[in-house]
Amino acid sequence: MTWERLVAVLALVLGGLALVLSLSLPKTQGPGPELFPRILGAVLVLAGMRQLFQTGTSRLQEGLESLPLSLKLFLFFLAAPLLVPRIGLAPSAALAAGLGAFLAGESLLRSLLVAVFTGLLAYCVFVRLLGVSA
Amino acid sequence: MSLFSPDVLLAMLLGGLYGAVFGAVPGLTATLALSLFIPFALFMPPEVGLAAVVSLTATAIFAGDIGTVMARIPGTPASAAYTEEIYELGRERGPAYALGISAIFSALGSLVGTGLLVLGSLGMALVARQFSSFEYFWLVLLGVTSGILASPHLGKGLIAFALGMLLGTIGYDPALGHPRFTFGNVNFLGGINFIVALIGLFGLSEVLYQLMRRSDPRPEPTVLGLRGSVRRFFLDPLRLAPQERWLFLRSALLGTFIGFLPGAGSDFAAWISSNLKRLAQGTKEQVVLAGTSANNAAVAGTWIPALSLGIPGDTLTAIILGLFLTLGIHPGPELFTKNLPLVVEIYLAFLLASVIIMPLVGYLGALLAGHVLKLPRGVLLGLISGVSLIGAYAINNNPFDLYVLAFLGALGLLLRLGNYPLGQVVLGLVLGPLLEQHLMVSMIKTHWNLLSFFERPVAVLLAMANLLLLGGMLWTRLKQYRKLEALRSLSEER
Repeated sequence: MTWERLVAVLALVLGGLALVLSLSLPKTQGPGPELFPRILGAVLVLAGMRQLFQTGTSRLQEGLESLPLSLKLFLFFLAAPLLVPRIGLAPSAALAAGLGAFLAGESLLRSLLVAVFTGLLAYCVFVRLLGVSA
Repeated sequence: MSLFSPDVLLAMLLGGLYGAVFGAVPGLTATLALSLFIPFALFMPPEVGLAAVVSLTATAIFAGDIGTVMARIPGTPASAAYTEEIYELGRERGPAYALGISAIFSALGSLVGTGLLVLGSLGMALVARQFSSFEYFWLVLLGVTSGILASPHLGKGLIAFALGMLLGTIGYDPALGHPRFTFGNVNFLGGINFIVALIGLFGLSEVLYQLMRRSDPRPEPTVLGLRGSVRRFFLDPLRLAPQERWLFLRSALLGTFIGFLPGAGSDFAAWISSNLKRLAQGTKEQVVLAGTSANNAAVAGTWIPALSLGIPGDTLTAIILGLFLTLGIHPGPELFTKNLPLVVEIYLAFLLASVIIMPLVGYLGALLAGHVLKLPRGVLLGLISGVSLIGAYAINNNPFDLYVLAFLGALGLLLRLGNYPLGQVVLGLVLGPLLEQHLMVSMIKTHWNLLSFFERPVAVLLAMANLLLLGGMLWTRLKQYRKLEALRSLSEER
């Protein structure tokens, strides 16, 4: 299995989903809002099938050993919509930056410095200067 | 606010420096720099934000050469076209000379591109006033066709483009206003926020991708010293200009033309221009000159269809069009009548960026970049993570956008791992709704009479242009494929 094929499967699934979901869109006289998603769905299904049978070069196993690092950061970003309203924008940005640096192999001290710098940037520039609600 | 006000000048200088540093660091592209800058630009007055954006894009493309000269890793894909030549030139005659050639001819190329941008966009805007939805449909289709065909792998380009277009169908449909694929969630009604999508696809996905790669590919960079560097950076390359004037002019014109083609952009321009000189047995200086003047002329060229027709020439202008729309500015022929001062300001910003910002910031950027290249990878990735979160939230103050950011970051990661082009997703996201709108409006106007697309003379011409482009590009690809097959069988026989 290669990453190319994995994306091809994703294209197939999303294309199929677009085709199925477009069936429930309201009908008008002649083609309506369902026309374009239906065309795109068909294109994705056909192109995905073609890509599925092509030989890929990027083997799935190549990046898998460091996948947990990316997964941890992804999970943090997935939790961020719950985090920002509770602890605020600047601390959340600081956490994202610190975690990103730490997962990339930086020492705890350096990661802390990156977090403090990003937190200050978010607070001074965005919250205080630009008025973004924290 | 005039272009020469302190706010605008400072924004251009800082935007240029930011672009130069981002462009220089391998892995951090001009697209990523622009995506992360857009949330800042949204809070500035349009004149200031756009001036900074012009300066940023102009210098970021040039700055790709800094990474190549100092660490042999091209900072942007456009610089990859002449990596060997510029790196060797830097080793033989010093980094200041190699970067000087790049900066001076980038600036001159950008100047030619700016002249053609003024003429081309004014001319196109005049012609486009006669356009109806039929002509626009064919024009947007031209952008879609060339965008797909410009990607190195046709099948992957098609999937990436279709995925972008599918993302663009979320929310109210552009012709009749029916909500689609919202799953009952009001946050989806307005569609996926373009800027959040950009930050996810380019910012967060970059961090996730780099975390998976672990190792830092950057070798120890060279640092540009101050001593004697001014002469080698500015004067020596300028002496080359009269000698190579025809090569320069040809490359700049070619670059602007390629930039003007929807979907092509500066990478394409640099590859074609430098390859032409390489095939003609040009010297290292000539190959670098051809590539660097073409890619910077192309930056201005990409703005011609963007300003006059509202159709992006490449990923960067697709992002800028997103910024325009978010600011409530509608590019196209009407921009030239309703908002002419802004158009003039963009022209002047290009002029200023070419004449002053690019050489000056190029020099400062080259001095700084040697040190920035030494910044640990983890620090850079941490900063990008933090700024991605801030940028995605600050646009609407809506925590829901952070879910979109996370999912598009993961989608971007998958596409990167499979070598699918991310730029095509962005182009699809911009061009998809435009294509659908012009298709549906045309069809509703003529009660689904397909022949109406071939009734107006300009529409017929544009339809033929589509056909010619499709045929020409497929023919070129077929020839390349046959050559590759022949080479492969030859090597197997041996």
